[in-house]
Amino acid sequence: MRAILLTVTVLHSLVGCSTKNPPLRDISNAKMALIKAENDAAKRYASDALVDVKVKYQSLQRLMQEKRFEEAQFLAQEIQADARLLQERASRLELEDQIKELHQTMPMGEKDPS
Amino acid sequence: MIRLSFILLLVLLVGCSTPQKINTMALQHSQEAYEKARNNQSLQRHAPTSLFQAGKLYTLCTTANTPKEAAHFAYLLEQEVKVAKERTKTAILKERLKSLQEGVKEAKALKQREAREALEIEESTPKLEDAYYGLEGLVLEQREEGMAIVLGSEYFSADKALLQGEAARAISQVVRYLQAHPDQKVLIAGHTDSSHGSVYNIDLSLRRADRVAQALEYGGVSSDRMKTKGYGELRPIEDNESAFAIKNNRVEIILLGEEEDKNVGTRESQRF
Repeated sequence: MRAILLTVTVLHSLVGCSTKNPPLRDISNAKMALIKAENDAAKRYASDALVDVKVKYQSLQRLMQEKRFEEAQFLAQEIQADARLLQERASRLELEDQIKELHQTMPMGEKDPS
Repeated sequence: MIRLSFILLLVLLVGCSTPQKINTMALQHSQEAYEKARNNQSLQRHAPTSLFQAGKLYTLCTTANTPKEAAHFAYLLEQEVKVAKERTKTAILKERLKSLQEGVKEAKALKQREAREALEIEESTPKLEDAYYGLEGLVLEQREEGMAIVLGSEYFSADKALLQGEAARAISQVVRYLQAHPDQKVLIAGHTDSSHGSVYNIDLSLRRADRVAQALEYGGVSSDRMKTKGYGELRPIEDNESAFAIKNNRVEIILLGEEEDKNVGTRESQRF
């Protein structure tokens, strides 16, 4: 009886080492990353990518409700990475547009200094 | 039973704690992307933080406990490499934008400077209308010595120095102009065509110039301001063989510039 109890305890703790606690910090970071990414530039230049990230965030909320914490943690980290990439891409596209506009305002015959 | 539990325990411990090298397609792809990125000088220069983060993810990838974990870190690694590339492109674009903006600024400043200089030149240069106000209706032609009021052959009797026709009105206009410009000195130069001999032509041209000077003096212009010369047929403005040769018969009242002013003394008649 003692042996069985010992085995069950050890097994329980081992199973417990793979079942994570709710990844609250990652969830919070993911939410902040999404809010930060949802700026005017992203809406204008990366609207599709923004929709994809929002869909992932909804999946994240579902995983949390289902207590699938490990998957939730992974997804939260992915959302952070996606949101950061989306922001960088939108900033770059916005800059390209600014340069195009500047070229259009330059009088004929003036050379691009670069 | 205890032995069974112990064996089970051992298996679980080994299975749970020992990291394994997972070689998946996704991991391979991410590794290649990372290797390329970290050797790229431009990325090293513009996105060192992202490359450092990617390095950490690369380690996590290669030491992942499960295929799922490896796939997860491989995805994060790939995203981080893309972030590094975007940051690099952005940095290069910012430099270019700055350079363009400076170029536009310089071009604008140059245009403003040119416009300012053009305005200054325009304001300092008296306009023809202002400078020669009062001489409307008279023929004005630029000569080497200055602007000339040309009294054509219609102002003189043929082969004579007598003034006729509109000459009185023209002389009045010139008198009023010279009264309005008291410092203005003039050279009155007579010219003819080549229909007579040169001595005759020079004499006629000088007599006509003197007649015009006399008329101006009667109008109130001081003789100190005038000099007369007779050039005869020496300075034609039209070909003497052409139908326009008559135009060479003229007297020019030349408004002398400052340089030429120095050469004008008392009234002097000169034959050439």
